[in-house]
Amino acid sequence: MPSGISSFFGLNTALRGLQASQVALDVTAHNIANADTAGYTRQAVELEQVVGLKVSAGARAGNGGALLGGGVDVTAYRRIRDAFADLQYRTQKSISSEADTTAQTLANVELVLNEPGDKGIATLLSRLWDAWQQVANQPEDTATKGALVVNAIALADGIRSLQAQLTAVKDNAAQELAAYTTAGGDILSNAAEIARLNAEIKRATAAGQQPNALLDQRDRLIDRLAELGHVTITELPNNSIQIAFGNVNPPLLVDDTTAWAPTPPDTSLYPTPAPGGIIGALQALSETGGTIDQYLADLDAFVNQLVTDVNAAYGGDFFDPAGTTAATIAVDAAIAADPSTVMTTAVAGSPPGANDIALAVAALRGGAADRQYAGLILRIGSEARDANRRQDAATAVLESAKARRDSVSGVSIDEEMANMIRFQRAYQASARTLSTLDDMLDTLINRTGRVGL
Amino acid sequence: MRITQNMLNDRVLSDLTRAMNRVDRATQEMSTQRKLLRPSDDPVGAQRAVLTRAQLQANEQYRANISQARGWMETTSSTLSEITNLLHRANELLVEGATDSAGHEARLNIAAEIDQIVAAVKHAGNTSYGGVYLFGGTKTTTPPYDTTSEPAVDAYFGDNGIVAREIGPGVSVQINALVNVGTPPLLGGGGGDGGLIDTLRNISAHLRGGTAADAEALRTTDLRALQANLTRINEVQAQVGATLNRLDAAEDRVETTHEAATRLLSDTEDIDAATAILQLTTAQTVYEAALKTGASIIQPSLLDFLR
Repeated sequence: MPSGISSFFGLNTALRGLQASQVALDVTAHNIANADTAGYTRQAVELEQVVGLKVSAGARAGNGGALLGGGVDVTAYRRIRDAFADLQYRTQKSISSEADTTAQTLANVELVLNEPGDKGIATLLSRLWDAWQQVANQPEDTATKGALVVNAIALADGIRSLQAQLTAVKDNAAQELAAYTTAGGDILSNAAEIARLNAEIKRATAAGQQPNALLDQRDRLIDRLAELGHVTITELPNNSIQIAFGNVNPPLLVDDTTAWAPTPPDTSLYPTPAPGGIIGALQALSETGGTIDQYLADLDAFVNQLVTDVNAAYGGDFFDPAGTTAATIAVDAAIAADPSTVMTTAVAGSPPGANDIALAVAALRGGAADRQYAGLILRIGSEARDANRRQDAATAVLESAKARRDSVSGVSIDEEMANMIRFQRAYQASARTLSTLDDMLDTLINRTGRVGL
Repeated sequence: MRITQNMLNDRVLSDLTRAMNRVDRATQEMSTQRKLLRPSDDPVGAQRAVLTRAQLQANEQYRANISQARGWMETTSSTLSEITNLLHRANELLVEGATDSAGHEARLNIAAEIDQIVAAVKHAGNTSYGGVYLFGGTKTTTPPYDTTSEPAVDAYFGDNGIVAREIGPGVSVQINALVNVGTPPLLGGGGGDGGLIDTLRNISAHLRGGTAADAEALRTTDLRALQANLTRINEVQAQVGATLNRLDAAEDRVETTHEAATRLLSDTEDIDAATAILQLTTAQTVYEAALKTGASIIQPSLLDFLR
């Protein structure tokens, strides 16, 4: 029979079983508690059997030695996470947030444009031509001239207000971009927080601990950065990381230091073109020569055409010749002050019934200016539709990327319930083993040697 | 693939949002009766809608222009008819006065009536429409003839400017009849220009003159001049009639393009009620189905079945 094994050896083995089951239940409880916590990665206990006791001789028949199993040990609390799913999700997140931001801003542009309908610039323009026709019909009547000037002023006001609103949309985008990139902005505060977490994670990892909660926190912050722009992550020793926008150098942060010290708003923070994401979209929308700037330029071209054509047909200054941009278009001050000074004819002596100028200006209807404005609507419409389509596509892909990631890292209540029962049973079994061993020892200690007593 | 409750929740939520968006869109289309709500719904359609709407508005204006031009031309036409009648009467009087049997007394009476006709012609020349004078060229605010001065002043106070109206894109027509141009001019301003007024004044003078030469002039030059005036009036009448026909044709064209443009705009912007209702109903059904499946999927877990 084996010899050299303590009578109490089994007690310890059962105790380890009890403890392991308890720990596993604790982790299950932790998982369940965090089932709805954003950014939480489910954890699993890694168990390993303990090689407990080396018996050199007498453990087996023929006096052979053995290694006796000493129970179970908890070796790790593993975060169950797939790095590739993270990469996919983050890439898709920056694409999707870029499309979202663009689509939302262009929706605002469309709202400002207010076309097609009877409240936009197109209607005001039509009314101007109508008013000129009325003047051509009744050149003798100063009332028609009054109506003409009122309509012309309404058109100029409408164009200026459209210009102001478009500029406001552009400025808002620029301000948002500045808010993200300033010293206290989202990018740098996230970067600083990640750097701080890097330091803690490094320390904990070096000390052999498993800083799961910190890693989860860091992953959440990286997700947020990925929303702002496409990030590249490089692994460093001891679970530390470096992050850059795109492949730009220097990186946003290395290990526990942020590499940036921007003076706000610093556009050198990200590569050109910007690395996608919200800041990429905002930059493309708000920069000089960017999307909205081009709309404003188109609007200016339309105004220039309108003012030039009308003044040429008018043979003088109907619109203020200095105001050839959308921001400056105005009816000539003298005409605005006294509508009766509107000229209707170039004939010498200005006979009251002559309407050659009025006819010439009215004939501009449906001309280059009208077409240019319609072209602007086509352009804005096309680009907004394109943005909406990209948004739909990106949202769908993002959803599946998120599903893939959740599929790996998310907490399944069913699974945890099943585990709970498993660990409970294991605990019960270990307890049963313990009490059986206790019974055995009771027999041994209290019952042996009492024959005949 | 491993599925968690949260994934199911996310999926159900995003599906519900999508279904809800479709309901929202369908409702919006139904309540506005339009499918083109923003340029991005159909960029090319939006551009077309803007241009078509401008065309419709232009058509309204052309219609107003044509109607005003027609009123002007019709008044011109009836005034010319009136003058033609006066001319015929003058012709009768001329024939009567030119016969040898007519005595001096009778000729003076005829001359007096001719002078009345001149006054009536000048009065007709001062015809106005909507407060503006039709025969004053572009001097539409001053009467072209002086009907009050004594002795009579025959001079023409208008000019020879053309008054035009735009009746279609790039098409304008002259709507005023010029009374002081051409040989002979239609009415003229007296003073030997051969116009109707001048001819009538000559007739009146020759009737009053009483010499053999006067009588001869009545029979020859005056009669010929009056015939030339009649021809001239008929020419102008024909022109006016032709222009009125042009106005009718232009109005037809405006009506046709108006119809076509209205249909195009409606096709571009408006919903087809049957399709829209079907879409709304479908969207609602899908939404309800999504709600129902969502509700039955989200609720249960293993937890419900453990004792």
